[in-house]
Amino acid sequence: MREHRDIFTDEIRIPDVVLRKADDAFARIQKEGNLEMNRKKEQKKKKRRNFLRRQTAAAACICLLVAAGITATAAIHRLWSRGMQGTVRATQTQQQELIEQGVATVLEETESPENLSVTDGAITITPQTVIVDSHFAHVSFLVEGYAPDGNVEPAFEFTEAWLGEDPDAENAQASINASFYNGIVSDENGNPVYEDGTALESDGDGRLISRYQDESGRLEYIVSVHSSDPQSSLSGQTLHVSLSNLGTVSKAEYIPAQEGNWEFAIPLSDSDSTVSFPADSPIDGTGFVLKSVDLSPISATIQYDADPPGEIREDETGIPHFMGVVLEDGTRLPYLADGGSDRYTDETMTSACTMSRFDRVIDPRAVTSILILTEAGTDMQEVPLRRESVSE
Amino acid sequence: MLEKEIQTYIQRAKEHDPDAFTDLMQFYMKDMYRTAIAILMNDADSADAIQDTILACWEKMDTIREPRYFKTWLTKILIRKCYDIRKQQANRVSFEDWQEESACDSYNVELKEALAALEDKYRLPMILFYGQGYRIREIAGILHIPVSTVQTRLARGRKKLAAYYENGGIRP
Repeated sequence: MREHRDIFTDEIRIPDVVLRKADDAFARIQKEGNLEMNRKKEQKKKKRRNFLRRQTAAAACICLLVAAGITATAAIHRLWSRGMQGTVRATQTQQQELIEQGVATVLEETESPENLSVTDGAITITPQTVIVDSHFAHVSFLVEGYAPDGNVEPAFEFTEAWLGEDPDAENAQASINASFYNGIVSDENGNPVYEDGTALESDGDGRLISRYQDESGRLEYIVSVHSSDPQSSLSGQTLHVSLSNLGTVSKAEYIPAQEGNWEFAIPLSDSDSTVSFPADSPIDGTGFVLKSVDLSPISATIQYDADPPGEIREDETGIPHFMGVVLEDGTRLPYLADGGSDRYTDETMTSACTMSRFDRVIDPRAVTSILILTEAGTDMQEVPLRRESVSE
Repeated sequence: MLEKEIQTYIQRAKEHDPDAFTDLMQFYMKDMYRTAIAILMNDADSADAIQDTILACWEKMDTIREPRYFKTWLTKILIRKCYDIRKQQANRVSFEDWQEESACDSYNVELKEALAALEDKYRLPMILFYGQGYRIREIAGILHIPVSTVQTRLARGRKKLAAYYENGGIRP
């Protein structure tokens, strides 16, 4: 029987207006040729540079700060913002260490913090804390001037992020996750709790009570960026974030409240505290062999060989999942992984890579094993790492 | 066009061969139209988005490193152009006016009516998955949403589409 969804593959007729506009574009391409295209490229770059200069002094100011964060070695730094502390949990000592290493930057540490802010209407948004390694970056934004009443989820209507200067470049688009911080974190057992460790509560309608606002009634928006190409790196790049219109969401429907547009250009630190562990460890019950593990304080990148070649079934790649680590003092963190990606890196599907961000900071030099899950419902496998061959 | 042929066309287009680029774009024209109509729901705006995408892709062809990801790259640019147009539309007309515009389009009415039966957020995952063969993970990457969200939207989209047809092609 014919499926309803065949409507999406049924033959269609391209409307005349589409053909006409496409033909116009093709004619321009033919006529103008490379020279004209290059001229336009330059014009656009120039226009973009002017646009960036108009965006308050935020970008320049942040550049200054990132440099300051890297060079300052003995200062006592400000702690990370509330939302960042909840997104990537860390002790105060770890926060200071990551700032010293240049992995984390607290943007408030500046002589002119007001220059970081962008105001549109009554709403001011200020980037707060940036954490970055090769494949993941987190940026927190303090949002002042908007505080929805009741137990509702605030949201921007549009969030866009791109890397470099050209949003249309092939490698400009990174995967993003973005949401307002709701005060809920995972405990050591992977269970959700409030950031102060207390159990979650529900309101009279049985809805989970979120704690979006801090004690001053301010909100914090967290943008997490992920580069899923193991060959590319976020380090040292400029991250552009564009936020438009504020409102709330209910059952995934956006309800507008305030119009506005806030744009930021944030240079990401090129510091990296990744520790590499070469490996050659078969993963039991699979054809995968662990070949290398790169651990940073906030993420893991793992390379496998597959023999026989991997197979994708439905939406499962079959690549073993990274779950967590075991530290040299015996501490097990089996729920460390908090999203990421996995993929085969060659057409023969004999090489694979997984990249996972962490829900808390670790010291990669203290890791003795990683925890791998090959199939849902089975036990995690503990795979020891060869410490004698660690490279930093 | 065979996969190998497509790769050859992409390589030639990367070297700024206008003929190869034109053939390549024409090959993907129906997919581009399906994607654009899923977001914009009218032919005139879809035509603008496709035209902008063709010009943007021509300018950026030399930035492509992995030809096998060409279509994903093209789709991302097209979606971005569509949302740019939607933002401009939202500033100019009310949402109701914008939706009514689609009723004037006389092409591919059955497709448009089926799409109109779906809420905005279900249309694009359905078109990309069923109409263009993208995998769920690829759609998650293109739309910057979690895999689980794509799965949910596809499941709900299927149900809504089934309900629409069971109701005799009338929106509930």
